[in-house]
Amino acid sequence: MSETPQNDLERDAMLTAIYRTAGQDAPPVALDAAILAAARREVGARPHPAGFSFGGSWRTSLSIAAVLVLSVSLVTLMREEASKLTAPPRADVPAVKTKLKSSVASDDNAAPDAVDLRDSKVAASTERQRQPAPLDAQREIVQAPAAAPPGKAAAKPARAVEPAADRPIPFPAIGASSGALTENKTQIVPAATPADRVDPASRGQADYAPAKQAAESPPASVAGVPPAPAAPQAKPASPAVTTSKLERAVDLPPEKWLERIEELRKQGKFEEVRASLADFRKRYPDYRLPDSLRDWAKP
Amino acid sequence: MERYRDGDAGAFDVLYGRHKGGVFRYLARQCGNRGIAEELFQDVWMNLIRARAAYTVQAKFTTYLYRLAHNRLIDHYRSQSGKLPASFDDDDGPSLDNVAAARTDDPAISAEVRQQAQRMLQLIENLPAAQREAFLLQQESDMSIEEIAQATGVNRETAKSRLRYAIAKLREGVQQLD
Repeated sequence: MSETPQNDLERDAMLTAIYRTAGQDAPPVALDAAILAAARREVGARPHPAGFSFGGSWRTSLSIAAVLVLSVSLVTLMREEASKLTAPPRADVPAVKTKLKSSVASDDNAAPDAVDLRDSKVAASTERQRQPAPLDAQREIVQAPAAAPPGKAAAKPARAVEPAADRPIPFPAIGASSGALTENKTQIVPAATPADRVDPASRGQADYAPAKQAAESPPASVAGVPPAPAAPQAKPASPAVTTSKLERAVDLPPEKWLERIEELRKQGKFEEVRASLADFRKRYPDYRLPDSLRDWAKP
Repeated sequence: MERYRDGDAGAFDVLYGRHKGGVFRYLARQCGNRGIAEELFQDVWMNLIRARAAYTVQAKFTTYLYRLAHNRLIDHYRSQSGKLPASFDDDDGPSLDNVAAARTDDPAISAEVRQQAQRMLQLIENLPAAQREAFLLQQESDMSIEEIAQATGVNRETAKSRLRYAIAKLREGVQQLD
């Protein structure tokens, strides 16, 4: 407005007032409409060159933002899940952590990172404890019950091993006098071994070497069965073999049965010879015995 | 105008409604023919619409708009007679020493205005084109001398001289009616 005094020389209020009343000519309405329509066409027809208009592409922007948010959420969730799977629950750590902190409490210069490092070490050791033991360690675990008291050891495998009294007799009793054999068998056969669970079809092989079978059989824990105590089952093999032989001899033809008895006699197993001969006589009362066994058959 | 450049069609409506009367009267009183004025008027606005993408703020929009109108008017002059009116070449003009001072303190002005209106339009029509243009720009767009100089493409002193001559002649003509 510094020019106002000077402009007053060039601005006459009277002239302005007269001019304003002289008429307010305006363009025709049709011309107005044509110009305005042209202006709107110009805006709608041409893309905007000067700047980026957010209004036209808000959907694209929203889509990109949504994809970004979902991606970040998924990655975060996956990391959390992975950390849960690999790291132990934090609830286990505080006791150890507190212990460690107390042990290093005197170290005032210890950085927070050091504590975190210790935490991670604790977590790693806990992790190692939680991980399944290697195969050797499992074998140790399986063999450990062998040193345990027999009572305890016998209690656990009860599910896997049937009691000897309940175990079905592999061969049908022969006549009324077969009770002695059954009773004898009950006394001789070891309590329960994994070999007892062998299929009847393969029982023949198992009967001849139950101890070996027990030694070679895989640990029960490996097979998914509670480990069977090894020590109580380690019994002399000979009675079992003898019993098995007697049981098998029942089905043999008389000649073979007698040969088997002869072998027992030669081996010096006289009790078994007598028992087997008694069974033989019950089965074949009229069969002629060889001279070598004739004296053994006498009561 | 920046909003219209950025795609706001409504902004153009506002601009057009604000300036259409002044531009139209400026053109009509400069060329003396309403039909030609309408044609020139449409050209001015269409030039403005086409130039919207390249519009940058370098001066007041009114100055920019009337500069477009002035250029279109000069083109019209050249297309009609092959040369500009003589007043556009006479930059300095006569001395302004005899121009009367403004009579803003006269209480009878408002009563005389209506009677003097038609006469004044005749006086304006009789002014040299450059002086008439300066006066019309001042009256229609309320431009300062500097803005008139910018719109018409002359220096400030030339614009001031043209305006003073116009006002002096109009004042003299109005006084003669009294």
